[in-house]
Amino acid sequence: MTVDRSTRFDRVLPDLFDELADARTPAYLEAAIERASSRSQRPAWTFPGRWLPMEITTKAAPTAGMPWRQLGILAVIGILIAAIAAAYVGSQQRRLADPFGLAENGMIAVARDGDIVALDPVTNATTPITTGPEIDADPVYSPDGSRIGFLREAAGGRHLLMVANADGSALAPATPEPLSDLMSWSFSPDGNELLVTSRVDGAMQVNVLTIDASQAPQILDIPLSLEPDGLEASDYRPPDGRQILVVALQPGTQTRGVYVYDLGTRDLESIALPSAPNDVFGAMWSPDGERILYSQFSQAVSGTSARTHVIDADGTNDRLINDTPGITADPPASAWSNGGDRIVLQGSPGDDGFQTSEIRSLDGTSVPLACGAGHEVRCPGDWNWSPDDTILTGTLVTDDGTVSYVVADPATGAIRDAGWTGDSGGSWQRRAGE
Amino acid sequence: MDQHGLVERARRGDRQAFAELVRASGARLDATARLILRDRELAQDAVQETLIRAWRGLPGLRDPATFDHWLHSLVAHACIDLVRKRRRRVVEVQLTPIHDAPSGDEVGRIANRDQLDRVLARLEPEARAVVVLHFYLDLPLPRVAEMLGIPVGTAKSRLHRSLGAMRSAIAIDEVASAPASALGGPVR
Repeated sequence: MTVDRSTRFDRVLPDLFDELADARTPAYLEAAIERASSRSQRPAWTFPGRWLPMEITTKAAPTAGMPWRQLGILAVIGILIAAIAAAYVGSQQRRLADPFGLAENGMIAVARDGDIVALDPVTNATTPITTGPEIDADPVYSPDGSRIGFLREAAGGRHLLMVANADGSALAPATPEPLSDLMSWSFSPDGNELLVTSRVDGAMQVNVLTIDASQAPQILDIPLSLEPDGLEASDYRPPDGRQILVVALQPGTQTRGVYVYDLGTRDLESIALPSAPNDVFGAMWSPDGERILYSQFSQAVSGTSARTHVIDADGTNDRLINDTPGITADPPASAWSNGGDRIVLQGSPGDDGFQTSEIRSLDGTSVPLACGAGHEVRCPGDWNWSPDDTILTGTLVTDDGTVSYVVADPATGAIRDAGWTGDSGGSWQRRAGE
Repeated sequence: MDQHGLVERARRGDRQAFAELVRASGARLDATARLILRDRELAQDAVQETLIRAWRGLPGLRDPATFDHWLHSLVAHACIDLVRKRRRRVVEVQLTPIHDAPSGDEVGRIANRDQLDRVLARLEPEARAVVVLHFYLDLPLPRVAEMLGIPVGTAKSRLHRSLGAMRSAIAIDEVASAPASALGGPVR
């Protein structure tokens, strides 16, 4: 089938699905509603947001006459404390973290009840980053830890990409208009730009945006297939971000390859060319930008065939990191450690359909993580290395949509509940060492 | 009353409001479950389970505007869970045509629909869930991934692999049959 026919096929699919679905109200619906609503609901008091009635939190405390003298003394003391605090903060101003490699652990940002909060992974204390009626989700810190980006819901199921300083100040939209079909985005190493892949009018589009929308979005003319879901520009190359990694179909092919696109020269370099029936997915840079990890499976094999490769960034020295099929790199469930020596990979689903996760060292040793097939806990949909590589955090989504977090020990694979709450994947903030 | 008001009432235990909400979505829920599971009885079980989870979990729904999205997420999970349970019991899922006998004389459209029906049947349920949520419910892939609790890369791979398999199956079908398909004709 030619690409034209493929594209036509994709275009007519929604209409065909409508016909095939033949959506009619089923005869059993009324009985099903009655059976469902005859059960008890989960009590409202189990949701923390409902613990404190508004009348309690908003009631004004009764006051006596104004004690002006005491207030004056307190004001003077307050000014003195503020001046001392300002001097202290100024003397303690931190350097920014290097955007790649090992760093000190900072906060973890999550979405909670439609706002973004930063939580201290040691004390679980939280600091609000955004507040207000808007619905914010999916926060990500910039590589140097100085900024934070997240999605803000807009009308019609669309999203604005917002960027603020790490403390929530200087908040501004990076996207001039809300995006309807955002596929992926990432910060440039200096945190000043964003690489955004989205679907526009049925075709893939890759843009470079300035974080404050001060310049018009730059649409990248990447000479690869733009058919729906046929292209993804994932990440800036460490450490300078002058190139980006692209996984895409070439026009006329049905399998994807790995490419490096130079943002300055506009040159496209082939790293792993498509070779039907093998298809590529899950490509990511090593933290030093010298290697690329990717997985490949055969479309001709109905069972497990995926293998994971590491290849030098110039397209040479391609080698397998697993001899047996079934181990894949699939971000965000896979992640390269900040030190560059270990990678979280996914294993094949067990009989119960649940995937496994393991930490694979580049020297060939591996540590299975205690999740997935045979364990009580499913493996998270994302794994995030702490900046110092001492722990991994992951996000679990249960069947009813409830989000919880786990912490794993990379040395032993042991997993425990993280003890904090939120509604989205967590992002670690990198900090410079003292 | 608008959906927002109905969700608020249902969250407080109003069964009538819940019924109104579900009646508005029932046809789409049932169709989604049939497309993923390809079995009317299993689809009915999945919708029943969805409604139970929805009723019990409604007080925890933070944003009433996300009700439809949340309900679709619940039905997708209910379908996948049913498939997993049946796999564990090693019970064969009987694949039956999900559509009644065709009527009328729209031969080309019916041929396309039946063609899609056949190629869908060849996909694994998890892959069908991605295809159905993306193309039938028109949800972007990141949202599909979020709904199914899988990485976006996995959703993309499943979709890409499924589309490849479907294209190949259709190409084989077309070689073996008369060219009545609009897939080879004008785009609607």
